[in-house]
Amino acid sequence: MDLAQRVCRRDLNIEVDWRPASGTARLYSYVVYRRQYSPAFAVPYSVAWVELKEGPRLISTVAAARESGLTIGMALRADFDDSGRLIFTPVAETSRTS
Amino acid sequence: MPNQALSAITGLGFSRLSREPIGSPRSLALSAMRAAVIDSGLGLSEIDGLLLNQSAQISGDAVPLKLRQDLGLGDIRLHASIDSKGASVIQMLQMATLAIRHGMANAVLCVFSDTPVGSDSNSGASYVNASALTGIEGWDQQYGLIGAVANYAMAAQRYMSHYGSDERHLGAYAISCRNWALHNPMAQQREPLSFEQYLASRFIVEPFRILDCALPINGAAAFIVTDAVRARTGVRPPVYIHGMGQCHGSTDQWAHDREEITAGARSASASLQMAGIAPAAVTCCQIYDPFSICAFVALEDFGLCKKGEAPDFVLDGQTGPGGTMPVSTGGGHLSGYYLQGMTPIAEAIIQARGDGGERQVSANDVILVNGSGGLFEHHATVVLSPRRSLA
Repeated sequence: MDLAQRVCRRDLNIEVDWRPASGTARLYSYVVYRRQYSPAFAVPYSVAWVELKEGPRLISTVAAARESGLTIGMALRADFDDSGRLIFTPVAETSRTS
Repeated sequence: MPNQALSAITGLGFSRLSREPIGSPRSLALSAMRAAVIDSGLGLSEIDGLLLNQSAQISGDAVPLKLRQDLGLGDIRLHASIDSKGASVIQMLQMATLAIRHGMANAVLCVFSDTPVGSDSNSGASYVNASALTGIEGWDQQYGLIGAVANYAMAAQRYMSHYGSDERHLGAYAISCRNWALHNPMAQQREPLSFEQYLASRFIVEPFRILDCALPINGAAAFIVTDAVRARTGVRPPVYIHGMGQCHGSTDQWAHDREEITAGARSASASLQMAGIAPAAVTCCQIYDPFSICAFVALEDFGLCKKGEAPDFVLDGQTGPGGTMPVSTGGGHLSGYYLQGMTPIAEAIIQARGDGGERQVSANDVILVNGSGGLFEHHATVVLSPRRSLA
């Protein structure tokens, strides 16, 4: 299921159950803003496109991205910042697993 | 009958194009419509269809149905606004063709008009609508994902990471387009561009530099579609439509690291099949290319390059003047002018007619033209030719 979906593909059901996600994810893609579009977001800043282990993808940010660097495919873990916003933190990997 | 034309384009017109405010979208649309009718040699009373398209950057009624009255058309038999974002203009051509083939109309005028550049904003601010990659209203904005550039930059980053392409390839496409634009009197960017200059240009949203992004422009363009037989007696050389296709899918289909067939590939394939030809028959491409990544994705969708191989094809110079596959021969969106779906179709018409002047492509026999909307979600493709039969 992708997050834009509102109707179940199998039976057209519109009732949604919430299920806890594992919080495990990988970095699907990212961009780094260099041009100032909005005063609320001072450049440079990165935006992450994250793929959850469960399948859906969503936009978020990777904590300490500037320090740790971003690599597509890197392992991430879901977290929440001080304002309650969903963010992701890099997970150290000794060996790459899919 | 396979290999026979479905319809023909018999008129093409433009308003003034400018990066300064030059009038309302409605007035620019009227200017282009009038120019197309004059170009076609048709009388106003012969125009019995009107299709309209505008961008999302201007208010919803900026290019209104009432343009019918503005032009002085009488009762017409086909009239609508069409919107599928970047695929809209090709869709207008397709809808016109379908109507003509069923006898619902004889001559359909199709127009696109846009005024994204205001007097008090710089052009980069023109496309800063909040994006929606996650699919949840308001989600993306909380992380500062703003503007169309970032969406395509996301796609480019992943594509380049997976296939090992880099700024040399992006720059090569920008230069390919610029090399065509040098010979296009209508092009907005006509200074030679070197790779050093490309590298030195400023980043907008990595991996895109300003030269990887189309510059917004105010203007309008229009064309007229008629029956293929009738087109033979027109005043301009007809440009025949031989194949049409569409496909619309989810935004992640540009992620060519999967082996599935993308919506863009399905759209192109459908148009080639309708035309009765294989990709190898294509001699020229006019690509919807507001960002350099668009050309790589399109060439692979068209079946002209294997997945991941388009960047080297471009780096090798194959898409520029003198190359084996001329692409976006007016400079495209990057160096020509950004009138969304009108840019590639107008250049296809010009090339097919033999009006390309210094940039005329000798291999104008089979021109594949696409329109692409959203983030590679909406696709419409047509096959054009100066020949009435491709057999």
